[in-house]
Amino acid sequence: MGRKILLVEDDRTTAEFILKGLAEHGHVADHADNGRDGLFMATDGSYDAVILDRMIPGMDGLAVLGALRAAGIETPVLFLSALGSVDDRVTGLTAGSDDYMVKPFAFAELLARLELLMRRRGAGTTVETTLACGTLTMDLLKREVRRGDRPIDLQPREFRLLEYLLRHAGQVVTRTMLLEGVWDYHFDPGTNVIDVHISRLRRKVDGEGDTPLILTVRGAGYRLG
Amino acid sequence: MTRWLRSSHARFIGLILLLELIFGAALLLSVTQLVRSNLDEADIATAIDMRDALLAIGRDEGGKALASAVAEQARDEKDAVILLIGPDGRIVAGNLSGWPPNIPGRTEGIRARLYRLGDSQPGPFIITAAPTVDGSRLLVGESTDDSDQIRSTIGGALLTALLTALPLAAVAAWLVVHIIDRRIVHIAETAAQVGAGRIDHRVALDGSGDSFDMLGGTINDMLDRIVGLLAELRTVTDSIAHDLRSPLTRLRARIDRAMLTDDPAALREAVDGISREADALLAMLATALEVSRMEAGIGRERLSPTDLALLLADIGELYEPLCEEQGRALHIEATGPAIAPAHRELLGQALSNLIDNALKYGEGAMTLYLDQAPDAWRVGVADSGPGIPAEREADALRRFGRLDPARGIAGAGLGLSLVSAVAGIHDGALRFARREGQFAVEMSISKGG
Repeated sequence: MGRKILLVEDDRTTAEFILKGLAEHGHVADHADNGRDGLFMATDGSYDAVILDRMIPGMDGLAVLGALRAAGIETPVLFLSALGSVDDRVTGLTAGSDDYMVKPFAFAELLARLELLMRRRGAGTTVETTLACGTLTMDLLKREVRRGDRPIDLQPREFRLLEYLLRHAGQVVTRTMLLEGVWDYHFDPGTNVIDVHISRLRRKVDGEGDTPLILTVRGAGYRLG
Repeated sequence: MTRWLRSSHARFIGLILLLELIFGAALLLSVTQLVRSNLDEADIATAIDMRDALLAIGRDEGGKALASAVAEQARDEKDAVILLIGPDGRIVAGNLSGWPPNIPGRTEGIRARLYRLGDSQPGPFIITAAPTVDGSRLLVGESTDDSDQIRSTIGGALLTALLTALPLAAVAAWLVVHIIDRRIVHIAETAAQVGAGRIDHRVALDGSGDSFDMLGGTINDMLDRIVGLLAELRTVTDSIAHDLRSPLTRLRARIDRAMLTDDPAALREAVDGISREADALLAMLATALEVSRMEAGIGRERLSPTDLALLLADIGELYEPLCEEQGRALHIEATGPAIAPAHRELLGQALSNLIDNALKYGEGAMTLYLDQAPDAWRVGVADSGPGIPAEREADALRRFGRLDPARGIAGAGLGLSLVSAVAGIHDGALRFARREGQFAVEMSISKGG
């Protein structure tokens, strides 16, 4: 289902690259190349998400976000910025953005994070007690996981990792998203530390004879189902 | 001129002069006041003595004797006015032409200018008056001419002294300003020299430890730090030039090869490789920037109370599967709570770097540990590998510094610089240690406060 997305980005090449990618995935995207227009459009239109650059002419990205939130507009905002230090990210996130991505970026990850944001908003307030994907089920209350009839015994962190994948079933999740979402760290580990966690989880979830559920998406990350 | 008047020098000198003036004026006023009241008292006492002597004559010997005594005194006393008025209001004797108005019948100490009979000028007198036993009134006044003269002499002398002191004070003020000025100008000149590129100039200190010496010392320390940073910057730019060139060359080679191939599978692989090289370059750049930012103290404001034991458990849990996969056991030795003001993200990254290093260069089981020094926590990673030889430790810490055998392994030589910078932001330091026979790299984290 196509969504309405606003891109506030002053670099023409980057903007075209993102707009093209969004269109290919069935989304409708508007573009503003400065902060003032961006704020005006975001305030006016009913967007499902905003991709916001931090260093833009007219009005700084942080100021745009501040003005939006002050006006009571809760559209999910994803910062896409060349300011990439740990500090910059924390600043962006504490300023009220919903996600923070550092340039240069892979489009697959941008799309994955964006869809995740929009789904999170759409999910509303229903409290789920069970998650499922294919024959895999997770009972959040009893903290039990089963693949068909086979119970799967998971460590607490493996449980959270699988829960994260289940909540985003069908979507691409990147390694950084997993590190942020499951471990709450925003640094770049540089090694394949996440891959090992995934492959352990995969050994438990995808037993012999089962259809593999945890898939590796080349150049991006993983996808459940 | 107006510019000079606005300067601190002019204000300083002006202030000293003003204080001198106020002080002088106060001295002048208080001394003349003191002298004046002393002299007045003496004059009144003389007049009272004379009056009381006359009253005694009147009481003991009668009105006639008093009248003749008054007449005699009026003739003989050159510094006094004297007047006796009978009960009927007529003048009995004296050297005044009548009872002066405004002088009551009984008084001690009213000042007045009076004409004595035969004088062409009025003179200053201090007057006493009292009734006699038979109802007459007696007035006796002592001239204050002499004491007035003394008073004005003293006043004049003090004023002269004050006026002489003023230029002296001005000279003193100027000298003080000059002395201060010389020291400050010296500091300013040193700063200007350094600013102009002669960075080895320093403020000369006299070792007195006074505020100028302290200022000079502080500035010297600051200059030393700047010079240190500049040297480091030079090393970094040199190293960046060197270390960026090799991956960029590899990148270039991969692109060249990719352009020559028509096989889609090979092309795909080549693009993958190019993407990996680019990622590595970006990561290297990001780390270099992060280290620079931390060394400039950015991020310090984000320190918040953190349980280091929990952090270690977290990172240990994150890395444990990876270590196990590489056949290396990972033990955690940390008992909490170990609270310190810390930057969770940066510390996490630093620890992950240390574990990466231990995985790459170390051997055997690894220990992720937390123990404590008097005012700091120590967190580190130890393994059974040979570690870094003592004489190479400085090289290992240098930014982009890699020990030669390590050149072949992926990495930019920034890992330990980052760890060191992270420790620095926590008011601590990075150090190498031997720990129960293991080689350890640890950070001290100040407990704060």
